[in-house]
Amino acid sequence: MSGSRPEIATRASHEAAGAAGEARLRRDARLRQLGAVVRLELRRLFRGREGKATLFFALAPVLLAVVGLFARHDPLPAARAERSFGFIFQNLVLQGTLYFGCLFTFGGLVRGEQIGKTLHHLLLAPVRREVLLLGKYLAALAATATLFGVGSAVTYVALLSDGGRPALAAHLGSGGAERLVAYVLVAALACAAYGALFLAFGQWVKNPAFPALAFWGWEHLNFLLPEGLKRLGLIHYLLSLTPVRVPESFLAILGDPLPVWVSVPVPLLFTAALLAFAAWKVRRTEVDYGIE
Amino acid sequence: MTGAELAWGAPSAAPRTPQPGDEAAPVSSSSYSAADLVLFEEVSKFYGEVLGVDRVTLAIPPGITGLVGPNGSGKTTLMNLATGLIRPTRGRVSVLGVPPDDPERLFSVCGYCTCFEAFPAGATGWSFLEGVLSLRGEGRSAARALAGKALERVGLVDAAGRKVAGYSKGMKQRLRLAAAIAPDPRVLLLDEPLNGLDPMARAEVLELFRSLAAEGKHVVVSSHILHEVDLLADRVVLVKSGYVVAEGESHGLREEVVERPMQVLVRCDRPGALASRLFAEGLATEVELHEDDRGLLARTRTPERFFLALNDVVLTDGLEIETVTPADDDVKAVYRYLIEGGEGA
Repeated sequence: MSGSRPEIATRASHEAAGAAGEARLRRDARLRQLGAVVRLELRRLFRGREGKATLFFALAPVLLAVVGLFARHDPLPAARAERSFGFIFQNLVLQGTLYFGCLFTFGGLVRGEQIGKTLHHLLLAPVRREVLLLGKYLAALAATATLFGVGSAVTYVALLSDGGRPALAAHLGSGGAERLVAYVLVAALACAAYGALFLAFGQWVKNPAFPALAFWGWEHLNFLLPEGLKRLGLIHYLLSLTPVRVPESFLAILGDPLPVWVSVPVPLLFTAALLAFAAWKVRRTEVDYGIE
Repeated sequence: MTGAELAWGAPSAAPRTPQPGDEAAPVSSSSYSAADLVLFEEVSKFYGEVLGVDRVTLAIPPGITGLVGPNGSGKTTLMNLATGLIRPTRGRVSVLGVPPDDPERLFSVCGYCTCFEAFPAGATGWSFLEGVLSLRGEGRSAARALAGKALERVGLVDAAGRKVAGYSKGMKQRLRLAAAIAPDPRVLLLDEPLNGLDPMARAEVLELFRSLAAEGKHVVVSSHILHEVDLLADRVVLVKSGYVVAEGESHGLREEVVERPMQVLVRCDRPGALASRLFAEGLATEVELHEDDRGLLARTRTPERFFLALNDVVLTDGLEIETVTPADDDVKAVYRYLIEGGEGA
């Protein structure tokens, strides 16, 4: 028997409220699961060789700066120190330690668990695979962005410490702090973009090192490319954001840096597209470890 | 005949012919609906060129089901298919009506104790279980309580604080089992769960399976050792070379085996005379006389007529019979026949 109109309207509104409540509960549960995946992944990263390798890569420029600090007889002028840090950040960090640190960390997020035959522990939990992947990515991003951000900051401070604390404080007060923050943010953006790339490589091929090396070559040649082709490399967008730009070589074709409204969204869109690809792949990932 | 009823395939590795109604309503004549069953509908899985399983149609109701077959026969493939660790090349799988590509719902009702031995590096029994349970969205205290209960059920509380890397094979097996049962799922898939367990632990775990089945759960136990499953299971599914060659209740398997010779052991005073009578009436396909001339082992395709004739021989010829024993009235005989190609059957 059908009810009266007010009764039907009340029932419909109760059902809608119930559905909304259920959706909210599910969203809350997924957020708790995401948090759990991040915690587990951070624990795994810092227990495993990935974390140790990333730590080593993050510390390398710091060590270089500290050795320089003790090796120099005369204090490094602030302008030269800025330029030196720009060179180190551009060539050693972005195109070296950060790149390979991210390869170790993100490339092994799924592939490493397959090699270690532990992926099934995650896939047998009542968690959407996309949530698992996102949690792993966020954990790796938190780890690498922190390590390379802190590493870059310490390197910057070490290079500018020649003149003592008052000189450093003065330098930081006259725009140095803003530049330092910019470098840290560029490092974080680089971790996000390269991380998504290596996560996708790890999902796509058995050994992500091969495509990563090929891409590294492409990034390294970016300075030789004309303006149009430069835009096909991530490094072009990242370098456009660095406060101090140092020519890589006398052969370098220097173009105008890209505006922030281009150089920030493009790597972020690139990251989102790669994460979508990785999520699509992880939904199709099979686990048999070659048993049968 | 439907998937839930007794259904025997051909004795070769050929697949069981799909029965009428399998696709639309695999268990139409039973009291179970798809929401109560673990269902495989015409499922095939190929690893490239290699066959995993082919055209498997199964409906597994609550209770203990043994999945038996030699190594590499496809048992693990079936369990991995049910849990979405691998995807079928063809066909459909569902667990209580939930497809494997919906892990949120699937693993709310299903726990899987795999045969994969690796654990996360540096984990202790506690941290591993708590980690696995935290992925369900449980709070820390709830996860710890569930973990504690599961560890207690598998008898691993004392060792739970130690690193898993130092565990014996049996302890790792129990930890995997604890992870599967901890969230109290309605369906438990257990891949070779008795591997590595000592006799005492084995008995405890078997008792645990019985108690879980008594709670109305589906407990699917795979093993390549028939004896283990024969003692435990309500029904048995025999798998060979990727095909389900037979499935059914573990009791009364013999009655369902048509066109297969049954072995009967007869101890009597004149086995030679009995053998002649059996051959004369076409009741035996093969007879082996015992060396002590006090008995024979006969193989018959018509057991009912065989036993009637035996009564007749006693009454008319005065044969003195000491014992009559069906020599293979257990799952093992069928297993031997189907899996090992009939040697000895």
